[in-house]
Amino acid sequence: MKKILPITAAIFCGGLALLDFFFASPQIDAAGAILVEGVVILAAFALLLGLLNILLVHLRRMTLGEGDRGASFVLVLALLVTAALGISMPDSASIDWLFEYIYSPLQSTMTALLAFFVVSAAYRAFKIRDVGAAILLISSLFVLFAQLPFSASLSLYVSSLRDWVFKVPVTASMRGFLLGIALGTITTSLRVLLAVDKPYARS
Amino acid sequence: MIVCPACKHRNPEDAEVCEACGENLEDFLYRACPACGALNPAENVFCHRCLERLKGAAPEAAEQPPAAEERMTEGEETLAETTEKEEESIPSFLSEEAEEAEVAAEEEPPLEEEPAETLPPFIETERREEPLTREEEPLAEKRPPSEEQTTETEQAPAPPDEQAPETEEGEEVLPQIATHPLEGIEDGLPLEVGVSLPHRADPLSSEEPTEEERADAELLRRIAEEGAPLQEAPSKAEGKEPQPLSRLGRVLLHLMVLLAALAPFFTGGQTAHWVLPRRDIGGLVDMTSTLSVHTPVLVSFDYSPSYAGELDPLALALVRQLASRSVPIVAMSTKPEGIGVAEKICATVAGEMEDYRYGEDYAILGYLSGQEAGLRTLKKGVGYAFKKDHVQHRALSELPVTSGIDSVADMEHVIVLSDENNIVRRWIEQVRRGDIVLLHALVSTRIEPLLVPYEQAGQLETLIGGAYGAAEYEKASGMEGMAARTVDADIFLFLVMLLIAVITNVVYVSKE
Repeated sequence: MKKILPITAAIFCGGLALLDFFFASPQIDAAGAILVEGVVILAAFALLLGLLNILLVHLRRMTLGEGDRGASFVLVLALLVTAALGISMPDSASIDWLFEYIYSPLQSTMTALLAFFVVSAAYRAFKIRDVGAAILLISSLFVLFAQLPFSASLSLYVSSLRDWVFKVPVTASMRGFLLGIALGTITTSLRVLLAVDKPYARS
Repeated sequence: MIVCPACKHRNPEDAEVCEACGENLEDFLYRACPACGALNPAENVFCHRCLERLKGAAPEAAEQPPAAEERMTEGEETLAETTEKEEESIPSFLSEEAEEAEVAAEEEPPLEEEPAETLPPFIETERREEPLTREEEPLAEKRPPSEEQTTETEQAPAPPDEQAPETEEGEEVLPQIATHPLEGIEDGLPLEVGVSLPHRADPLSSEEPTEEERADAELLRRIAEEGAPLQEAPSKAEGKEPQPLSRLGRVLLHLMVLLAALAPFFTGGQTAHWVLPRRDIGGLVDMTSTLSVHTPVLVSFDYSPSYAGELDPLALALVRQLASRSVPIVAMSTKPEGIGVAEKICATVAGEMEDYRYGEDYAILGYLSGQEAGLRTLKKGVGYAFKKDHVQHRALSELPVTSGIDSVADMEHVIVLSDENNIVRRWIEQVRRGDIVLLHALVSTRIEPLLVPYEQAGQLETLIGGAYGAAEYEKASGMEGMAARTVDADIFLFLVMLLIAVITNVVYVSKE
């Protein structure tokens, strides 16, 4: 019974979601809506669980002295302050201030650092060691140039060639990639639906 | 008899599970040869080693001399009975095969006479380790049958296919099993006995190996003797290893990037007039120009502040144009931090336009959790997914901008601003399905190539990258702003990359 119950529930819910996706019937739609609503609620709880897990991990680090205690302390403090402000005064200016002057700049800074890493990587990658490296260099520089807002004004050929690069080689490779993902997804779904794989029954 | 693969218990022929351990035997039917003890798969009719018929009961097993029968255990008696029954059930064509096999076995030289030196050493080793084999303990030599047994065997009315092969002198060589073949095996039969020792009667095994086979064997020996490294060696690309960038070089490159980013402060956006909007952007601007002031547009701010530098100018240009045309905007996000971005963009535009009011001209619904599931709830009904708005916490029916909206289809156009291709894919799969809305994606340039197939398939009406999109959108809509001033930085950054390509190859060639 310990195995049969989750397997039955998984097959039933999966089958119902599939039916709801492919057929428009008021009864199936209603049943599917209940399931979907349940997933949304579960996802919200999963977010809370993740938050709790982060808190526990860093509290343990602080108490046991593992890793960087200072960073853990800052993380826990920021988490508690933000949570306290968000729960007690959700519409206050403090939350907006935190978002605009701490969260946003930090995230933007982290992403901006990528530019420096990309330049360092380009120094190595742009060496024309063989034919492949030459193709990489030429295509990279061309795509960079074609992304400039004024590239189309210099020559219509640039815009046409950029469109060709995106529509033919890029689309072909991406379609192959997407088809592979789709086939893998179908296989995985069938395995779960047929109870060959039971990720929900893992202890 | 079926030998359990798990505990080696010998079970009766009709057993489906092991009597000792309960193992399911249906998939592991191995039967022991009554003559040599080798394990054979269930489908084998003859023993792979000695060609003894497996399913037919050997007459000598059924007519064991009393002395031997007394030594048989209860299980072994069951075996004899079972094999006898199976013999009756063997079809005629199998009996014919058995006859042919017996004849072939008779024509082969006796096993005892085969010179030991023709066998490779590893087989010799296995022979010594084997608990009970016909080669090691030839009954004709070590345990000759008693006169009574010989007489009984000779007189037994055995069918022709069961008769023992005889030498030219008429002496019996096989089978002279006076005792049960499994006698003396205390434990279960090891699988290795059944699978490792090749059948000695196989004519191929006695042939001299060819030169090619010798070379293969030598290669195999060398590979086997090669010590395995503890850690796999890292694969190295062909060609010369690239030299790492020196500290000074890295500093210079980073300085160039910094100068490129700061360029607009010095140049003041001199290149903004070069901007020429491409066709997609012109189409989107035309579309927004024709939107009804009574039909809201759903704008989903699905990007984090990480990409604010790239997507904020595009979002601002879009919202500005919609607001200037009094097109109502319903904003939301499927990323938790996207709501903060939506608030910031809408507040900026509301600050620029005095008559642009929350609730009347725009509304922010909030964060929709649940990824695919969340978007499915949105498709079922906007009021179903969002009970109240995010800013004033009022029911959607109370806000003028959302009062007439029941489903996504009421908004006709959905514009997704995103920095993740999976988010756009979710919108396509869950909301656009059924062509109920027209979907436009304004994305970071990093993920733009990943979404081109969707645009090619017509699942996206518009696909625009943020790096060039903002400036071109501003130009096309005639509302130049922040993005146009950053074009200089784009140009300088491109020049930096071009310079790097030149420098790195000059250095590389000079070192070569």
